Amino acid sequence: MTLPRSPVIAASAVSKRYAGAPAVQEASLALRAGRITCLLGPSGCGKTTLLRIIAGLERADEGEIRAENRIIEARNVFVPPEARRIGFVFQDLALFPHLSVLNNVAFGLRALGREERRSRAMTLLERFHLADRADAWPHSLSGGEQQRVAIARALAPGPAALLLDEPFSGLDGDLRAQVRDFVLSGLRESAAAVLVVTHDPEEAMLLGDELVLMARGRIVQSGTPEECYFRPRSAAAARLLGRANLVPAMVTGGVASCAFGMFPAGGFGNGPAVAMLRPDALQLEPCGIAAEVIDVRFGGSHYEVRLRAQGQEAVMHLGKEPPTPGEEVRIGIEPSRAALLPQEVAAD
Amino acid sequence: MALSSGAATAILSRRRPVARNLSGLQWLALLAALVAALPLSGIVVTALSGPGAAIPLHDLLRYAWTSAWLAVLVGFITATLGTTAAWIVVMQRFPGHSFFCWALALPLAAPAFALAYAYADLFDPAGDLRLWMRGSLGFDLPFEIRSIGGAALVLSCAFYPYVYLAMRAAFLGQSVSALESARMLGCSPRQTFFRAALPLARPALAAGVALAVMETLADYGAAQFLAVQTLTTGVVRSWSVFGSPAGAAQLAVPLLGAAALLLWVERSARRGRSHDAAQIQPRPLAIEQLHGARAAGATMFCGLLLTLGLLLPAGWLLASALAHSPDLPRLAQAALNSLSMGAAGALVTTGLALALALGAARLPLAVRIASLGYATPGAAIAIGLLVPAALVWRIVPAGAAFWVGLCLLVCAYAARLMAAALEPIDAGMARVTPSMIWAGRTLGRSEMGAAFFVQVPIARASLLTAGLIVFIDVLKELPATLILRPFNFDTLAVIANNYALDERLGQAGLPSLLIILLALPPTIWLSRKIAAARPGT
Amino acid sequence: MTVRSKLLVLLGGISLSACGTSGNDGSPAAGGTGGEVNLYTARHYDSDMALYERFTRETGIRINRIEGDADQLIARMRSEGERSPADLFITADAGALWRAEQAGVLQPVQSAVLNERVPVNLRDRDGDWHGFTRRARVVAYNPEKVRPEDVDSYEDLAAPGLRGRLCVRSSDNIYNLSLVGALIEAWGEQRAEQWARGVVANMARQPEGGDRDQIRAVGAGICDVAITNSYYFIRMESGEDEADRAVVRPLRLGFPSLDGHGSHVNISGGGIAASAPNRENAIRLLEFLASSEAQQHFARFNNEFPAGPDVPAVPPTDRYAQFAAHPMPVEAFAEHQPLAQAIMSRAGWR
Repeated sequence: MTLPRSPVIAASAVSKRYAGAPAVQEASLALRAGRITCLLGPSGCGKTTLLRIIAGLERADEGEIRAENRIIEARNVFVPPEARRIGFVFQDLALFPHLSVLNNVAFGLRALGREERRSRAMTLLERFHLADRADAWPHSLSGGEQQRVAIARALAPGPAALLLDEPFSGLDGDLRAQVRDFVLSGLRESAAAVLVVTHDPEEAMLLGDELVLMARGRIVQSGTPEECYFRPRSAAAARLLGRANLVPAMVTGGVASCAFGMFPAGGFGNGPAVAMLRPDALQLEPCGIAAEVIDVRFGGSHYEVRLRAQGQEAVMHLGKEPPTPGEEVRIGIEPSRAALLPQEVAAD
Repeated sequence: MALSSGAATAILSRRRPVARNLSGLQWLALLAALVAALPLSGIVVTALSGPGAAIPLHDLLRYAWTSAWLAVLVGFITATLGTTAAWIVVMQRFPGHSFFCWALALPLAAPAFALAYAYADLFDPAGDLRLWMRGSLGFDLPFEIRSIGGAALVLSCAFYPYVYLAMRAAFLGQSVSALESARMLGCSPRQTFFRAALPLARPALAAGVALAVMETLADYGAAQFLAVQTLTTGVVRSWSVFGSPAGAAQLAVPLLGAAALLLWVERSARRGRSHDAAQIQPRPLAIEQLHGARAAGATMFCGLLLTLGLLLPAGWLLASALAHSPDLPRLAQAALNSLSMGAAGALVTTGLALALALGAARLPLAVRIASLGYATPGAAIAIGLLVPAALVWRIVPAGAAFWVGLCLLVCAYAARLMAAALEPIDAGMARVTPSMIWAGRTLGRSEMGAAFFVQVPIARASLLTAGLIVFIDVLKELPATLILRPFNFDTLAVIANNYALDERLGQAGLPSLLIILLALPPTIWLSRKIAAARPGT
Repeated sequence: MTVRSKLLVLLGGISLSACGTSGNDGSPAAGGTGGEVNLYTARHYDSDMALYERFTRETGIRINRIEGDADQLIARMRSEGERSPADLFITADAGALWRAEQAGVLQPVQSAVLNERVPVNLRDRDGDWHGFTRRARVVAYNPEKVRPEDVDSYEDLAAPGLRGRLCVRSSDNIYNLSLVGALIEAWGEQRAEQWARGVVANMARQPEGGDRDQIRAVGAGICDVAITNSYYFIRMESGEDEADRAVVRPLRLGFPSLDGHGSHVNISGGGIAASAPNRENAIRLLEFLASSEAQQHFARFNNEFPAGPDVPAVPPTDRYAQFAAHPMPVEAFAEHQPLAQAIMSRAGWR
């Protein structure tokens, strides 16, 4: 349907060290217009640093960044942040306390005339359902409203790309989901390429058209949320998106077998490998493998059951009728939720 | 060819970050730091320029001992008076409370030398008051105003507001929970003060006392006038008797060291304070309504403090001014000069301090150096200013001498008072988070643009505060004005000083009083602003 | 908007004050013969101002002034170097004149008028500076407790008879330095130091305040004898302040003698700056200040004694005009000031 357009932002092999310690190592990623990419990783993995380098708030030591086919960062090129056409939403939002909501949003529209500036800012406020708060001061807004103002402000100058650093971290529970959905629709209306940094895997998968997984300064995988969730390329990537049981396995003749059962090995060659089993890949099966129940905990939408079989432990999620600890159950593997990893990346 | 262009690129890439390291803002900050460092470097250059004066060691030790003792006394008295006043005003309600709240800071408007003139005259052993006491009452005051104790008292009257203001802010922002915990743990109200409130406010106390003691070291003339021979005496003797500016500069170095140490104390205390402020619980303090004798006592204490710090000396100056026929046109001109210099000094100093604050993030050393100007003792500042001034004087075309002279003087004020302006601006800038600046950048502003459209407007109120503080200080300024002013340019302080040197204290009264009158409105404004409510309520 | 308008007002204030002070045309430092003279003066008496105005009225030469401490002015002239706008340097102490000469900021002047009006012992040998008024360092005493003959020589002030009865200001005061400098010149270092020890032993209290305060202390009974410059006493005696007149009414001004040759006198004087841009005008002003009428003006309003021997005495100094002044050349004691300070410090004179 659509032609593969060239990316709005393309970072290649970007590296950054702080006092000798590597923060980002040879990171490459591409952002495309109208698509939302989530950069997911644990705290301190370098994702914020990468974001700031793309925005021009930090310089890269190595690597190159292009924006709209123009080099904005390279060994001897540095385009300052104000000239990059990249919007940024800060974790603390950084709303200007001395300006009204309207003037916050209009701050980046200085090329326009007075009236035009006002009407463009009002359009954005309307899109984010903030029109009635236009004359309010930032400190009088609720957390969710502040969030929306920050995003509207960053979108106002019509940036080619928008970077959001942990944008929802200040919000709790329901409100967070609410604001997120709201923001998602607002973002979709703009044609900007969007990069969201987060450490919440669920949020990343819900929000992102594409995921970029980062650990210890390196990008470990990128792809659609499903790809990343079900076909992780390493143990680190697997763990980033949620609980994963990693169990030694043996592939023979296209079938992988491990302590908790067997499943098709796809194109995997014969020999030892590691099975990556999401908790919902394990299910009760009357004629499956016997496993001992060690512990059972209630987690709301499911029961978390800890099992042991042939000296290996794994966690299984059950929707109802939990077994009791000490009981023996028979289990099998749902093939679509299991994957195989080569042994050498399983240790990551 | 390819090799050489590669080499060029390599050089370019290595140089580029350096060039970027000093942006326009940082150059401005560096300029501000340079201006502030001039008197200091002048002192060092002069100190190295020749042999010292032949002042006997035991005299030097006596001066140093007196200086130290005076500093300790002033520190102790201001700490006691300022803390007590602040505690009473914050925690208790009594008749006159809302007035004393801001009025207790008003002695800031009175120059220390004016207080010295007034008290020396009032308590002179051969003066009317003492003669009357001896004659009619048959007894005499058990103390002499012209003594180290008297000088400490006079200087404390002038400087206690520094402690009062700092402690007031600290008590207003103190954690109610900490006070309640202390009560729960069995402390009486009195013990709660000494074991919880006071230790919690220690950073503010250190900062306030450091300012008071620094002012004591920088004092020009007040202690001297009260016959207390401090290191300032040594500086003056080296210069005036032995004709050795080098010796004077050498004596100024230990004073400078002491002042730098105090500045460091004050700065690190302030860091602790901002940390405390972040954890304020916005719950109302347990205010005590005083009745009867205790209420009267509180009112009397505050009234006495205000009387000693302002009303009594100002009244005495007024009385002596009325007894003499003044040269009104000359005083009016001097008042206009004082006002103009105060305004120009406030503008330039605040501007430079602003540049320093904006560019400071990456030039912390520049801020340190700039603050040292404030710590330069008054007696030494003239020596320090002459060296850089000489460079200017020797190249100025004759026709521009008057305006260049004024510019030089304004620069000298900036050098002396940079730290005083920097403090409120820094506090104002603390409201700007780094991400606000970066937000300005990503929204299309250059570094300079972000500074002026984000940082400056957010810190706007603090700029006014800084300007007023400098204005008040310039009105009271003496040593730099004396040495650098151009022809036919007298300020009120200069005229007062001339009369005092000529032993015509009565005539010194009116110009001194005029300084107080001019400094009073901005002081009241500042004081009332600082007296704002407890944050969060 | 309000901030901007405030700024405009303040800037207006500065330019207004600039116009008010630097006069109508050009700056003070401008021009070589253009009708002005730049004065660096350590004298800052209001009464001098009237004299300057009279000079301007008579000659059309405008006077620009900077007042300050003598040594700060010398340092400023040195810093300004050859570009210094200073034409005439005036101070109220021979020691400061001598230090200015040593610093090289003065130039010699040979003026028949000055040579005629200023006695030879009150001016520099080479003509670097000339005195135009005299101030005697003498004593105020309480005649009920002290007989005149008890204070008729400087030795008496150090004699045991005055133990605990003497008031005097601190040792770094220029007038004390000059007095002790004169004693060194007359008696040598050793005897001068003995004298200083005697004075310290006689002090009724540690030095505090100025000369006037010493006189008031005698009036209040704190001490019986005070060392003071003559004009302070005369000013209190004849001034407009009734309280001051009351204090000195019962007191007497005594003129102790140095070795029988008269009282120690210091001068107010001036010298032409080394690089004076308005040298001729400066000489005219100095000659004017040394004129008979100017010396009378100083005597009348600042109560100093005229320098010239034939200047007619005027009130209120005429009562004392016949005192015997020691003929010692002032430069002789001027150069002893640092030594005098050292001696007094050793003697414990604070």
